[in-house]
Amino acid sequence: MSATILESRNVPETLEADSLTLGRLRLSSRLIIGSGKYKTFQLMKECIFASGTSLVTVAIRRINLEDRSETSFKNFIPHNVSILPNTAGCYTAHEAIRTARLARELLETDLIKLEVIGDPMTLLPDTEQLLQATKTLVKEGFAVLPYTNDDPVMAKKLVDAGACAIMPLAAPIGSGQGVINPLNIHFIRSAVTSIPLIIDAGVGTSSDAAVAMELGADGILMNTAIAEANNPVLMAKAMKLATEAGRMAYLAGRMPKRETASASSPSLGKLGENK
Amino acid sequence: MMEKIQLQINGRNEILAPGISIKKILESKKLNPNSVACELNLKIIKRAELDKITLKEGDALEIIRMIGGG
Repeated sequence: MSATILESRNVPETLEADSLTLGRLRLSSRLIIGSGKYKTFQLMKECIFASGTSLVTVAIRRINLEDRSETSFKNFIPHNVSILPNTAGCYTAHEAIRTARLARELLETDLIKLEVIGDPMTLLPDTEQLLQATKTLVKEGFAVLPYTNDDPVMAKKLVDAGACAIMPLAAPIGSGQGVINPLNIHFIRSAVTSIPLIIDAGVGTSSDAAVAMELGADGILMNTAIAEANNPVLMAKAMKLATEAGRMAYLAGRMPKRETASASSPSLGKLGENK
Repeated sequence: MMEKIQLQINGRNEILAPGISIKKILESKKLNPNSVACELNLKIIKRAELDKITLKEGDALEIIRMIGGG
């Protein structure tokens, strides 16, 4: 949006060199996808492949001691894909910290997608509890990825608290609304330069992903947009391309918007002109 | 008659023989220790400790795993 950001962009020589680093993890894809809501585990696996992702989010839950049908879930996550556990469903810092610790023991990863929800209707984050949980988990050596509001002030506080990436929402979880406040995402991008900015939640289709990336996001995390598409595998592929296209357009730097037309063809030498 | 202890596993009451280890519980429920994590009375139990920790009356054991989520 502004010339100052344009000038600071480092354009990599190849797209392969344009990787995303989260904590100690180097990711070849800027698209992170969730593993929930798929009709079958097999369909989830096919979407993971089609999306080209190298990081998949999972939830942490009590094992069902009566019904073991879900225990095969793990077998459907490809081995070359890293796992990002979340604290989804937690409503207090205490619950989220407890879940994060269990996730670390279970999956032997320091990465945690930190969610502290403040309202069951909108699933918007309780940023006060989120900040508190971030501080505690950073002290315990976690690489914390907090799911937060599209609030530039909170983003700065989370950076100061030691988060390893900032993950503001595009729109409420599962709403498919796309980036509802692009100006705030632009403000966050301008304010957060030391760690990655990942748009988490709320995209609905490929153009939403492209918009998020064009705004300067380093990555995008989505679940429902793929899982609830009529053809999830095709949408996963579309999201892969949109994420890459948006990233390239951001690096390329878009032309300025004008209020009037500017002809692409020369105005001189047209037929019928009398000199 | 052998004494029994009552405790909670994932929020459900269970009656077990005293002195049983967490590892034995996992085995009895056919759970692979590498696929779960355990928390006893809000404290994480490391995998290496699962056979060393025995359960007592009133304990609250949580056994968790990963599942699909966004």
